[in-house]
Amino acid sequence: MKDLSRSLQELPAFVPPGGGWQSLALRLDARQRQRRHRRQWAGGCALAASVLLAVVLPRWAPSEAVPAATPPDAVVALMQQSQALEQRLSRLKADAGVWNGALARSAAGLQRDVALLDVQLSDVAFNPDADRRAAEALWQRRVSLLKQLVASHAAPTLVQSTTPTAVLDEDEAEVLEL
Amino acid sequence: MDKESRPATGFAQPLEPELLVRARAGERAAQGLIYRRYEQAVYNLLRRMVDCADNAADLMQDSFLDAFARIHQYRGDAPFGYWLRAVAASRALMHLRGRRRFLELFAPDAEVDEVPSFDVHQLDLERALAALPALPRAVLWLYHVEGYTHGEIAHLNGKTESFSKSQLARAHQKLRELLGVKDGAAGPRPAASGSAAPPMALAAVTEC
Repeated sequence: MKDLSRSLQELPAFVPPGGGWQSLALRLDARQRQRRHRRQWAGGCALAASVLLAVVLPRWAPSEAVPAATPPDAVVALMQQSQALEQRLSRLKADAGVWNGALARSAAGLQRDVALLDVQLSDVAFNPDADRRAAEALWQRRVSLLKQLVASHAAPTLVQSTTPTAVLDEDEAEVLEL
Repeated sequence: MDKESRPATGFAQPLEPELLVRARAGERAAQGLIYRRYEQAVYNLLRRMVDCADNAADLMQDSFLDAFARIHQYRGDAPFGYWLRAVAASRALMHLRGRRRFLELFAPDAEVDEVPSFDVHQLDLERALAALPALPRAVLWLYHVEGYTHGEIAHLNGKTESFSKSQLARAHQKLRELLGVKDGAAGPRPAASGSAAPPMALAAVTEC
């Protein structure tokens, strides 16, 4: 009398459909292009932010001739925080291999908001009459958005398993994108 | 049941470290070699778990995509094939969970301590497997063929061990019914294969 395990093991194996690798290779190539595009976009953003900082910082630096109405420390601190967050974001983007679709959409929205803020900050930087409190508020908003972006990039990264058993969360089933 | 004595499946095939390194670096040719090495095993597992050729093919693609995206997470604690198997099994279980067609099966709490004995023709067993509800069938396959423990199945599913046991018990019970095996007995033989119709309606149930 054979036991059930043996009976099941002796069932004939199914033959996989042909052309599987060709389809998979196409999808892998598409994901690679998508990933490269994301990196380039992130690099562009980081460059833009750096340029912005280079332009804005000297303008808000303390001047002996024209004393600042409010000390720029708060803004400078926010800029530095923003820069640090940009760097962290850049590292996370390079590491994050697996993405949740909903989070990816959310991150894209946040990145658009950051880009809009950068335009506003650019206006402020080139306007000598600009209200520094307004600038500070804009930088605070930028830092806040970047923090959300960092969180959204850190969150979907799959936890490394300590066992050979790999488990995907239900959310991760939605979309797994490189 | 002696799991060590089980014949090695395609998942047990070794993977050369050099090939793994190349695949981790994203080299397409290396990934292709890995795909071809484990393709048969992955497809058979998925086909048995979801019982639908189209879904199994889609899940196989998704499983390999997941595996290559997460290949840096493989630490070499076990043969690569077993890690890949876990990725594929997770995919299949997520697919089954997503269908929500088996929610009513979560309730039973019965456990079976003894593995039932069956002596059936392959054709009958194939038909019975096809007629099993999706999740019990998947658990049955993972337990009896792939050698997963209840704890491992529970981990893959994000459920408790009793969940796995109850699903397996349900699968055993249903198989007994479908194959005409009486409870608790070593089991009267089912209708001779090829001669008479199976005891229950064993028409293949496709779930696509």
